[in-house]
Amino acid sequence: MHACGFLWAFADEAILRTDMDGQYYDSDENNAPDGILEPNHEKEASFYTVKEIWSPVQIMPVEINREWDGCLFVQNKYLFSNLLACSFEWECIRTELWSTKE
Amino acid sequence: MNRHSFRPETGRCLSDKDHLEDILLMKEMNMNPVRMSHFVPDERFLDHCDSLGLFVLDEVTGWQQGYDTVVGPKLIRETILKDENHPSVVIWDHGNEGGWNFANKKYFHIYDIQKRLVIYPWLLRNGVDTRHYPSYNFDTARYAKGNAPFKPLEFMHGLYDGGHGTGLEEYWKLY
Repeated sequence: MHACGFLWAFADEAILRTDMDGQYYDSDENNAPDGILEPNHEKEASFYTVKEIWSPVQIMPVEINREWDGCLFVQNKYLFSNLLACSFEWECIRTELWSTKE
Repeated sequence: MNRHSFRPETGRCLSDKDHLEDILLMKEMNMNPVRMSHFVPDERFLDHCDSLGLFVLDEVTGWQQGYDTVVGPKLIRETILKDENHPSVVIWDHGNEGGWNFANKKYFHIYDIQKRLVIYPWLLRNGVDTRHYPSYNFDTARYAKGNAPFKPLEFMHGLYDGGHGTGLEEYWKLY
């Protein structure tokens, strides 16, 4: 039975050294930059992944083709809340970004 | 999430704004519990957790080596008397990865009249399996067949952001 999990760790730890030339963030080499956030709490890429994986509302994958009727399927992972208490916004956009066409 | 108190320019000294920023970032990532690895937090951090709603695992200081029966009870007493009235504190951690002393365990229930659960980060003890850094192949069988709630108090080590986002989905589906 899985209860929960604790990622290691929240933020990189680095001291801003003033005894060196210029701006130097000292994380003691590999011993402290384990975070999802950088030392000044800028978001690293994993921030957005974690947010999506642990979202209480999961959007099921849908194949978008000519038969697609525009419906999305969502799953409620809240323990107590009804999704009627949430509001959603979404849009469907056309992009050529991943098109295989020349 | 495992949280240290830290900022590049002030070290372990955090402002009220820093504490709030940490909590709001954790909330934004859809996190519910936070572990005080590996020392007790500032009062103001707990005030914000009480107010905004984060479960706190409050940890008696200790890292891989336990305290003796003179110093240990004092640390347990001070941790509990400082933080016991915060509703966000739901569990005590008795040190980290061997940073405990079983001879001192009775002091938790002597001082905490609410008798919160006491856990031992990385042990299967007191009905909770808290193994650290479970491996994908070996530990999945253990957790699928075990009876104790499984709660790794450290997993997905994120050195240089290499382990969080890349591995989490596979683990999460498995659990």
